[in-house]
Amino acid sequence: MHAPALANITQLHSSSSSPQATADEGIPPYVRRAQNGESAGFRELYTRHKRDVSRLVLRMIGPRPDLEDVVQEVFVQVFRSLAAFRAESRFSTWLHRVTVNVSLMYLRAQKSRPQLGRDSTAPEPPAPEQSSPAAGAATAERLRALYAILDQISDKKRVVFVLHDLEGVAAAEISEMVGAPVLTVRTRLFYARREVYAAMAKDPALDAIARELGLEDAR
Amino acid sequence: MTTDNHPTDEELFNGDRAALEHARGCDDCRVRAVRLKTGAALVQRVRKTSQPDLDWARVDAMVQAAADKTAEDYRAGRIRKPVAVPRYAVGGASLALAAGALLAWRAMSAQPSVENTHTHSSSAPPVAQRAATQGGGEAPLPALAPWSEARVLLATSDVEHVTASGERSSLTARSRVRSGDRLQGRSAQSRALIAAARGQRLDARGETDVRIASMDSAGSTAELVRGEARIDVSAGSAKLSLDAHEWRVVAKRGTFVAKIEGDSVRVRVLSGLVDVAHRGGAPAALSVGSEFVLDKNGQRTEAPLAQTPDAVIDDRALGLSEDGETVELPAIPEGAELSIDGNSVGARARVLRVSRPVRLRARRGGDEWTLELDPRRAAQAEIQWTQSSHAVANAHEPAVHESAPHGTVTVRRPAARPARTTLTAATIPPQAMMGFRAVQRALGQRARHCFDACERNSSCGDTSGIAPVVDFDAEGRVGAVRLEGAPTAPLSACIEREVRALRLPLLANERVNLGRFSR
Repeated sequence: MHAPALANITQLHSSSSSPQATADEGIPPYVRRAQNGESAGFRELYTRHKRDVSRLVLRMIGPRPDLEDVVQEVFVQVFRSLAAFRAESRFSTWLHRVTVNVSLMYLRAQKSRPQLGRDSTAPEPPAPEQSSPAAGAATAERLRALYAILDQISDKKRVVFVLHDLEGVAAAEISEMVGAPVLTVRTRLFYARREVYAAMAKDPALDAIARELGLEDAR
Repeated sequence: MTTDNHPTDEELFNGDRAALEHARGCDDCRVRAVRLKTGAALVQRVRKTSQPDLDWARVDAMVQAAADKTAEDYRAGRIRKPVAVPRYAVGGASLALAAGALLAWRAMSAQPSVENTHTHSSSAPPVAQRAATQGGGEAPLPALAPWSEARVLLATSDVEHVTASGERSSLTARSRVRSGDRLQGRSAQSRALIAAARGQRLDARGETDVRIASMDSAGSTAELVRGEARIDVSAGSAKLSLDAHEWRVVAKRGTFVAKIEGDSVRVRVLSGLVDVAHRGGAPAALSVGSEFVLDKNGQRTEAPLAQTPDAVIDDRALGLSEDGETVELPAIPEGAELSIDGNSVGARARVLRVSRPVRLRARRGGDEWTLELDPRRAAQAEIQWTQSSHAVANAHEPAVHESAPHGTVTVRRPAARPARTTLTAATIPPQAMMGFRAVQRALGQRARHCFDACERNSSCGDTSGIAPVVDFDAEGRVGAVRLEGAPTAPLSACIEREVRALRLPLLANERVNLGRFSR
């Protein structure tokens, strides 16, 4: 694993150079309440961020049957690590970092597990223009092809590619999340794109999708 | 375009006009162009995705249960805010640790090697190694700061930890014992053995109240308010002092036992150099093998030995060490007496910090259970008692040794636990019913793909359905799994893998029959 592990969150956190590094006032009120052991604080944190977290988890791991479990695990880890949050970066940045780390741990665990018909149980993925179950299943299959390509690149590059090109996070914020200089983030993004595009260009599975989507005209 | 005039992947992905123009007349480039255009379309679809379609009712129930549990942990002081350290101090400490590690490594490398695979020979500073565990395993134990917190080497289940701010909780593997904290035994069987600093051990026994006044590798101090404590200082370690009734007993090296008896303190010197002083007066050395009664008036009276040997076996013989790994023992069969290598550790041990593999035995009448503790795997291990002999019929299940999902977990089945009721759909508590149903639904979907897979591979055998019985641990994660319905090995492996992905905090520490899943 190249990205920071959960255990290192505090350490990475303290090494980031945010201008509000000393400020406790950067801690959102609900986080402060949670740090004081108020259940309502934890609940509000979850309610406010569950959509963002689930979307990021989806983009990190793709449509998989364990999506709910990973989202749940993210919040369990966030709750338990919350004591270490000291507003040296924005809470959302810290939360995204935990989400990315948990997702990576999941992906790594999956690689070490035998893949026994996993795809057959993948849940219907989110599809913006999904109009029927059949359309949803087709979209799932297409997205799986994309994530099969992302599975071929390293964790570091995958994180940067997903955060930047799929999630739309700025390089500076990614740099805080992964604990690497902005220049390094940009370099990883450059190589990640190159590897992703090369893998796409060689992937015959995309031919069928192109036919389904009517993209052969693009020639 | 590249030097040979073919467009790059990036140009094709981005739909560059010249690149696409080139692709029209180049077969290879045309194939690449279609694929990359498709890839770009998929990326766009993912970007447009706003939300995954999850069973939010299930996730909400699970997470909110976890929220309540965690809030309770925060309130009880089991999770605390780390002490803020200025950045310059972090840098300085890092340099100091690095220098210390280098010096220690040099010292170690100069010593002859010792062939002992059971002991840790780490040259690293004495920081607890058990900082985080793998995903899907038990929640990580907090890492200890180097000697600003005591190492709990042994604790029974009935010791209370009172922080300097007055927060009370049971002493567990997760407790952070710091200066100003108190340890209070609640019964005659209570025992809390801690290392205040390297080589400085404080063993509080019975209904004892002891306060950790200071912890420092240059010398630590504790205050005995009630009960009995044994102090042990290894050669080469700094002194450990015990204050009681205005007396200060100092072990520079060696061992003594002190006991509060009304207004006086009884001190027995077992070994080494032990001094005693009253109200900061001149210290006097106590000879080995002697026993003194120190009264509140400053009088010191030599007394006949109450008992010659110390009743409690030296913990080093048990493999307990501050350099080990802290392990929280699973529920001990009720009423059973615990021992390591034939040495008793009482009936209520809950936390052990072991530096070498040890085998615990629990005996109750003719029944015997064993528990293997390996510090090298303790951080990942899910450990359970294994019944090795029994007087009553309860062992129709053979002992099974198997690997758990991440390959590093050792699980022993069946766990010979105290009698436990198996919950079913009819007996699940109402507050856990929603989560239970959600787990059933999730497992139903997962079991379906296991059946599909085994049918494709013709490996289902005669299995018509499976009924998993699961032991949830304290965090609501799946511990032991028993699959009823005689599944074949591949099917069993698939189902068990999926069962282990489940989590149900509201049924923590319960054994649950998840129902039957038919083919």
